[in-house]
Amino acid sequence: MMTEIYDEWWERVNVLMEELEGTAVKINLERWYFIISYEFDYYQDELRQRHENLSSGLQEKFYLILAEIDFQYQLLAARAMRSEQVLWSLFNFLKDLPGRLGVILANLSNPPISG
Amino acid sequence: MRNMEYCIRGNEGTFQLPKNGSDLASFIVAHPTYIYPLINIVNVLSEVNYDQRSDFTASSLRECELMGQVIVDTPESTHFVQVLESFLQRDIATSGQLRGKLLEYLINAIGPMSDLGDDRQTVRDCYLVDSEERLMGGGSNFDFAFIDYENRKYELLECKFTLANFLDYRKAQAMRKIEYMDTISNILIGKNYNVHVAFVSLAFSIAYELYFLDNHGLTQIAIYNYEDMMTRFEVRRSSQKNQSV
Repeated sequence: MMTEIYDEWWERVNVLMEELEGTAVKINLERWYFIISYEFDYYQDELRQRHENLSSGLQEKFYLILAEIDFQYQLLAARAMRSEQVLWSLFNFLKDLPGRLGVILANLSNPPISG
Repeated sequence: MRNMEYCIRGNEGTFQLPKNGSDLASFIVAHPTYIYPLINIVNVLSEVNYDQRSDFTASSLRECELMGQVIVDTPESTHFVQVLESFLQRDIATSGQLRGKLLEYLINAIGPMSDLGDDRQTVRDCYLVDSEERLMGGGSNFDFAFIDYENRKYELLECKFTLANFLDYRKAQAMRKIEYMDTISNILIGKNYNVHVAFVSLAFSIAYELYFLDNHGLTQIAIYNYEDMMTRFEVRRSSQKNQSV
């Protein structure tokens, strides 16, 4: 399942890059593509393992969290073409996603004390 | 040849943030699990209007609630949203400088990232001098030095809220800073000091940053990320509990 989730997000990265190619964006897309793909590759196995170790109840919770992340991504993506600053934030969002999923999976397995 | 000893000079006074930052900073120190939504919100929302910000904030808090980190719609989470909004307004007005100061405030509160012991000195905006007060390593500095002079241990930290942006988009400035960190580290290691030099960032993913340093042959510079910060908060909490028993 984690592979499918990963593939889905990776597909978004590719779609975004395709949309941006040929536009007047001054950001170095090739560089960002490298950075994001580096992070995705680096965390992939660890995430798959952490996800496999979750109980089915916690996996359900994980999908609810993914829905929130998806909502946040959509909010950003909807206005990404309006300014390079927003686009930059969107790239940062994608770059940080693998590590963020790792934190989520770790917290689901071993919840911190609130507060 | 005379025995050259080194010393750290800098600011040893109380750390102060502007009011818009200090309210949030105090809240975070008391409730560290709110760092998670804080990072997500600050990273993406400096440039957008209030409606989008509130939608994003609400979603981020729901995400944290599902993780078991916070409980939404409580006086605590409501207070977070209030102090966060004030913080964001100020952060936008200062082109993102306040977030950097917030990270420094948090480091000041939790102390060194390594196990340096309690008998240590903390100096901010600091630089290394020799026994004749000559500046070592050029004109740069570190955000933090935690020093155990007796045991010849140094932890030297540079704080960057989003380290990847610093490394990649302010590359010339970043390289100067890294060269300085490397030089100071080598000077101290050469005199048999136990030196720990590192960046502290609030990033979740730091694989690229590690690759960047490795690619420049700078493997002695460590990077601490969000998870490391949370570990230190936990250590601090345990230590405070033990002291109060």
